[in-house]
Amino acid sequence: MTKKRGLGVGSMFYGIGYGFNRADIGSAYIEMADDGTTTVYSGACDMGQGIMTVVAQVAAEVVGANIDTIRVVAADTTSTPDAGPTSGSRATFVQGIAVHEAASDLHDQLMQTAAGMFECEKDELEAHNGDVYLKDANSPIASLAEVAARVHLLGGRCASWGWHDNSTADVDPATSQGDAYASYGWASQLAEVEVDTETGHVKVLKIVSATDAGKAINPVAVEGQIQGGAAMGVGYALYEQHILDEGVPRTDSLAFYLVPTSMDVPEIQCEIVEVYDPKGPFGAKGIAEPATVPTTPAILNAIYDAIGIRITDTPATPERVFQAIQEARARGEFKD
Amino acid sequence: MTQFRAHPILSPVLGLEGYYEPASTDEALDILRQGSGNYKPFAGGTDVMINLRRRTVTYKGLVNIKRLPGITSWSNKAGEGLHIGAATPFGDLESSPSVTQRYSALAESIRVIGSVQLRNMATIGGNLCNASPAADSAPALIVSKATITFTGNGEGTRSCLVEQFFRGPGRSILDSDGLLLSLDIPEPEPNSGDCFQRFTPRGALDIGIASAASRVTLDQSSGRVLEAVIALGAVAPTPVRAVKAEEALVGHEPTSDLMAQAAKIAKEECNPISDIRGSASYRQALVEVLVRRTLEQAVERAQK
Repeated sequence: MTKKRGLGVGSMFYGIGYGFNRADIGSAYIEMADDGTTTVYSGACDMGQGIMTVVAQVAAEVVGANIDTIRVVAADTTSTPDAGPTSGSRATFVQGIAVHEAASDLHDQLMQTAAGMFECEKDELEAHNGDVYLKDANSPIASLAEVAARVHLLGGRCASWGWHDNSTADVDPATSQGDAYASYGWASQLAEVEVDTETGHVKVLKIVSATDAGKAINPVAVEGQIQGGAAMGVGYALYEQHILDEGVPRTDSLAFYLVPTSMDVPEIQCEIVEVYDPKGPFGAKGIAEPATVPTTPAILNAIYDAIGIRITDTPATPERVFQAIQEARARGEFKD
Repeated sequence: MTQFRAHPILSPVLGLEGYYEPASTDEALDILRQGSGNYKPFAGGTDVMINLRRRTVTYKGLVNIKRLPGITSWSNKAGEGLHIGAATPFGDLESSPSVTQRYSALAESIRVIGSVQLRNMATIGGNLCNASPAADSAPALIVSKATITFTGNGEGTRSCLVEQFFRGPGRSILDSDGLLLSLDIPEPEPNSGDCFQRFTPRGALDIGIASAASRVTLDQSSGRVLEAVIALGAVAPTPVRAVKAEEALVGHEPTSDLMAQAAKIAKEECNPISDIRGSASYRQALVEVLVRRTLEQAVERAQK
């Protein structure tokens, strides 16, 4: 047989946020208009991974508003406070708490005003889906919009600010020992590949990805990020390389710098693992890098399982795999 | 004829002065001669426009040939084979059972070109005129014994085999005022079969590190090889025949051993370069694999 199959596992843990005493700050404004529309000004930039949706969900849940009434203004330097870069799997974990703080304070303001309107204590009130209830009651006593209108009428701001510092203590400079990060993400992937031993071509047949999300605030977005992470990992393992010729990039277009197409990304089975993280919003933590880091070791281990040869340079291009097979053949260490 | 000024925004970017849409071949040739080598015929634009934008070439004018009569259509006549206008998009051919059922190598080569979107724009004549050593359709057309008809070039309209068309990377027998008009592909002979395979790292949208097409015609009574044609892509300055490998097959029973032997000969016959996509020795190794695999397929199809 010129085609051999193999299975491989890749596992990792990853520090969420910046750690090592580096500044790791999130911040957000929130305000509710007198019609109940809530605007969150959030500095976290959404590149497509879904932080704007997560921000809206956290704000809606904490304020007690209907998510349809939440508007997110994101990553606009004229209006949003700084929340640091979207990197290090930190946006949900850090900015989620900042939004939680802001929303929680706004919720308190609204409950305080409602308590005045209905002559009760604010602790006797709760809000969900845009309405205010006496705790454990079935029907609402007012809408959040009515309460917000009241706050505005009384000259209140009906707005708040949240800030979260996720910076950690540094490790011991002498020993490099210590707890560098506020939290850690965990992930494992299983890859199945088929190697054409005559050409060195590797085809990934299936990937199973189990990723610890703490709590999946938006399960569909988490699955999307897991799928995207694995697809990107396939590129890192098999295709993407930046080639320089005396400092001049030779891979200067997507005709030369190869990324996986839909023909190259296999079925990806997603397993969302939820282990509550006390430091994250509703127990959530980031999964960006965790979803992509294990793919390459899983694929390279699967290649090893298929042909008995360790590929130690990435990407495992067909020519590299072919050369490795040829060398093993020459040593008499390869069985066709 | 329709003549347009180049778009005021695009012209400084692309360096274009004129854009033409001739309605007849004579008009097209007149315009090309006026351009004195600075005008470029184009159809799908999937190579010309990219080269312009990457500034690897400059033209003063573009001559869109898609309005020339019959140049974007094709026909299939019993006993005559395929007659294909040079500006026929690959997508038109790919979707026709009369191509995919009888012209296997051609269909296999078309299916790997670029992507669906590209094949709806890119034309079969353009793939040849771009004269890339890696042109996917070239090896399949060569083994199919396709002929092309062209005009201009200082003389009248005439024809030649596709394998005689190429001169080097990016160069064909066409001068700057030459115009490829059509292709003719004869019907496959009885007891023949063909196959095209290309090797790329990626499953789509990639350029071949090496490719091969094989066609085998068997003697009906003895089952021996009457004729073999093997063409290789991306392993020489032009698409090339592997003549010695072909000769090794003729007159013999097409056994696995013989095909493996022919593939080894083809490997030594080609003359690839090393570049960003692959080393010369890797390309040679691929040629051996691709020739053996396409021969095996072709023989299997011929025996059906």
